[in-house]
Amino acid sequence: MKKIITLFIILVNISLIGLFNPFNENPAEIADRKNTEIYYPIINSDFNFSNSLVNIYDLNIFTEGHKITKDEKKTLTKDDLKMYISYNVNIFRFGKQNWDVAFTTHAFGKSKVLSKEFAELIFYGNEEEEYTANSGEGTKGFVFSKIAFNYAFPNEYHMTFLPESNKKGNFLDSIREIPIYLGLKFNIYYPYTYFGVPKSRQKFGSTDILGYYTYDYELNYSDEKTSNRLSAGLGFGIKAKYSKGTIHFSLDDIFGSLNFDDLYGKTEERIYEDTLAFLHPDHEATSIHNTQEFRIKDKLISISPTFMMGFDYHLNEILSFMAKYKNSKYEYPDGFSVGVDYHLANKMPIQFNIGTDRNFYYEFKTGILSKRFEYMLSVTFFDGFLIFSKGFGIKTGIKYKY
Amino acid sequence: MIKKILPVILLLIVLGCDLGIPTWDVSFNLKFLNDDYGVEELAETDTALVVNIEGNIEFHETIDESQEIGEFDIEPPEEKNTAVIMSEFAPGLDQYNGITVGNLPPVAQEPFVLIELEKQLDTFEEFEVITFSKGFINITVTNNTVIWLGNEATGPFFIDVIDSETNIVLKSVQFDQHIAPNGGIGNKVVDLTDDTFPDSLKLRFCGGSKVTDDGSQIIDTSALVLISVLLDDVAAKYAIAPIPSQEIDEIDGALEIDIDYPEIDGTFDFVGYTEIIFNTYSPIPATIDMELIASNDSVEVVGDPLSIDIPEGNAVTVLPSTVYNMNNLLEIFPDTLSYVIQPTIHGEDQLYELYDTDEVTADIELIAELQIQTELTGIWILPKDNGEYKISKVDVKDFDQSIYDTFKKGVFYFEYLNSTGVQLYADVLISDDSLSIFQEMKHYYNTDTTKVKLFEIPSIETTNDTIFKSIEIEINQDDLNYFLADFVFIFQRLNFYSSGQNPISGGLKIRGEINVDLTIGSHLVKN
Repeated sequence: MKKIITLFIILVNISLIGLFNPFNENPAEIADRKNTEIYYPIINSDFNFSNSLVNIYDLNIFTEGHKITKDEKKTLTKDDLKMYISYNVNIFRFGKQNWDVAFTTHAFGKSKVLSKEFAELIFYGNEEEEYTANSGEGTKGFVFSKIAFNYAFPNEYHMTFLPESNKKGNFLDSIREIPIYLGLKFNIYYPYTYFGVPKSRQKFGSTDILGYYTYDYELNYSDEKTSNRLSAGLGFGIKAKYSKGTIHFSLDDIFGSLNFDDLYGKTEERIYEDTLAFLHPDHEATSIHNTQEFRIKDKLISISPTFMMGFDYHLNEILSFMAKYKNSKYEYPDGFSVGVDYHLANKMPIQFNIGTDRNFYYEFKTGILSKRFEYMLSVTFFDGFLIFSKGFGIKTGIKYKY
Repeated sequence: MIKKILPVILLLIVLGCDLGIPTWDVSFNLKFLNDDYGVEELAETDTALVVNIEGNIEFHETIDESQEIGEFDIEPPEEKNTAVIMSEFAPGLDQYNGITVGNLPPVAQEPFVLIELEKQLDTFEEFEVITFSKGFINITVTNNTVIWLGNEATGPFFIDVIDSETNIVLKSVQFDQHIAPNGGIGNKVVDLTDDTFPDSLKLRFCGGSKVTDDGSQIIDTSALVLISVLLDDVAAKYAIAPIPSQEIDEIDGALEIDIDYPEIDGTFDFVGYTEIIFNTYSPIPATIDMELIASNDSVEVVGDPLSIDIPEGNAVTVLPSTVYNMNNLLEIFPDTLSYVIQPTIHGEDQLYELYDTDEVTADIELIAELQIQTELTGIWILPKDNGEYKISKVDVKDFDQSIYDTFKKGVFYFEYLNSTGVQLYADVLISDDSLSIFQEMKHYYNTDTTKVKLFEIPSIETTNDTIFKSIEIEINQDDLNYFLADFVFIFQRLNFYSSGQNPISGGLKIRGEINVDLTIGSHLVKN
């Protein structure tokens, strides 16, 4: 009985801390919600930006007139320069007990701005005879809105199909008793813009028999002629409470896609080749420049299902731990993360999460938590702290409850 | 709305970082030249230059001419004479021999017809057969008898010229005037154009006659009629005959030498081997006299006359430079090589069958290895294009201040093998006005570098076949000042030295690499 009472207390707490719930994308989380919640528009947002190469302090390199030193060159040529940006904003969210509707907008971009090999060419000159790179390839950016209808079944379910035992403390019995909550999601997607570079290659060579550079790329993006179409997706989630912990699992954006019709497309190819035979009267360097513009009908940008699973464990009323894995195609960062949550005076949660995506990241989250009001502020640093990080994130949220 | 706002928010974030473009120095090594330039390529640029079997470059032009023999002379045929005794062609008067005409019976004084009589002429030694392109047969008859040759009543006097072998009458000569007795002379000239005569002819006499009206004349049946036959002023269109020496029409012509010669400043000699090869055909022995005249815009050189005898049929005759040297003609860098060829045929010693349409042909190859001997200071070569100095006007609008600022310095490295046998230097003159180039192009050793930028390319010396030599040229930012103008004018002059020991051969293998130091920065970003 004591166990059940303890569990109840924890559940109440959890239900009160939606902004601080690391698993709040799971529709099953609202199964046992007893109140009504309104999220403050716009303020509920999440911005993250990072790159693979330079930290914020190193951004000093990119000031007008700054002369790049040897060490800075070393930094800039350490790896491919990749950039990630993600911005999610909650335009509207309202939830009452076990149902919820949310209107969010997501912007996501990623790009391999400069490959390591080409960066070496740019900053050190050509030390090798030939260089091949695909800087820019895979660059992708899109903005879309998503209206999600969440519904969680208020009843808890048990695995009654497991055989019952009469022995006290039997493990199988405890499993049978685990309350399981189920939530469902129905999403509507509306795309705004898209930009993609599916192909981009660069070559440079200065060999004994040939001097050349070539580049070719293909880009597509939405323009004023592009029409956007609504599409729909599904999701579901499970929450299972066991002992002092909870297991979370959700799969979202099943069948999710962004539908564009009549995207602008362009390919460009430039080839310059010189056989170095300048002394011959008929010597002529080859120069080819082809550009082609086209339209793309029915471009479907598939959103792979967003997968999340994890668990949290409450050591006591004020201290809990969590571990989570998330894979999303439009939210950054994701990947595997672990965290600790401490409630100062039961009013001020302090969370620290560490995770790994393309970079390691460190998230500090705090705020104010009351029965009627929640305020959350979170900062994230990538691969370091403060100005020595390779990116940062800011997350804010305000929620009213009654 | 969101669609509009989001990009603005993102832009503000980026701008908030105050990002700008830094500057950095970078060094590039670019291989820009790897080429073989053999004499084969040099020769390809001009039809007058070829590479011979020894691999040496040579001047090679061919004069390809022919000339028809045309109307030709034979030795003037000797006059042929013959005589006829009166009794042979007027046998009816034999019985009155010694009687005065006045005493003849009336019957004997009636007109009568001469008995046809043939007389063989001596064979012509000057020809065996001839078809006349022009000429006449001149027959003179001296009548020493007492009878007329020709009579109104019985007909005019004829002499037929007959082929002795075939008895075909080749020419029938009618005397329009009757030939009077007792020394009367008849002469007839007949055109022989297009007639063909063998060397053996006979004459046939015929026609009307009557005794003289002078009754005091005594009939002498042994009196003679003298006939002389002369083939006069003859020329042949065909003959089997000994051919006396005679010129046929001369051949005039000119070869355009399409070499775009540069201007040469300095003393030099052509010292290479030269050769003239005559590939001839003639139906009869002949002599070819030839004169070569080399000329360009400013000078004309007339070569020594040359003469070669060519046999009957095909023949090759070679005149090496020890016999005839063309170097003095080529030294002026001619753009035209004129020639006058005078063929003379001669075949006096035997019979030749010759038509006027037969031709004397001559393919004359003029060959000269380019072997130039200069003074130690070499000669300066100023390239020209269609007679104008080859000053290139280059659009350098793209070379703006930003590129100038980017370029710090560059070093050109060249490695080369030079087996041409000549040593080259080159100067490159650059200015933003062509007049300065023009003024300084011939100031080889005291170029005013305030007017033009002078890049001196060190000597490309001769090398052996395997070991590369190298040269290095440094270019600094200041050297490119002229390129900030919209256009620059570029002229290059070459210094060429050769000891004259070897003809120009082999080639140039050259590899070029530039090491350029650049400063990259925001100045490269326009607008």
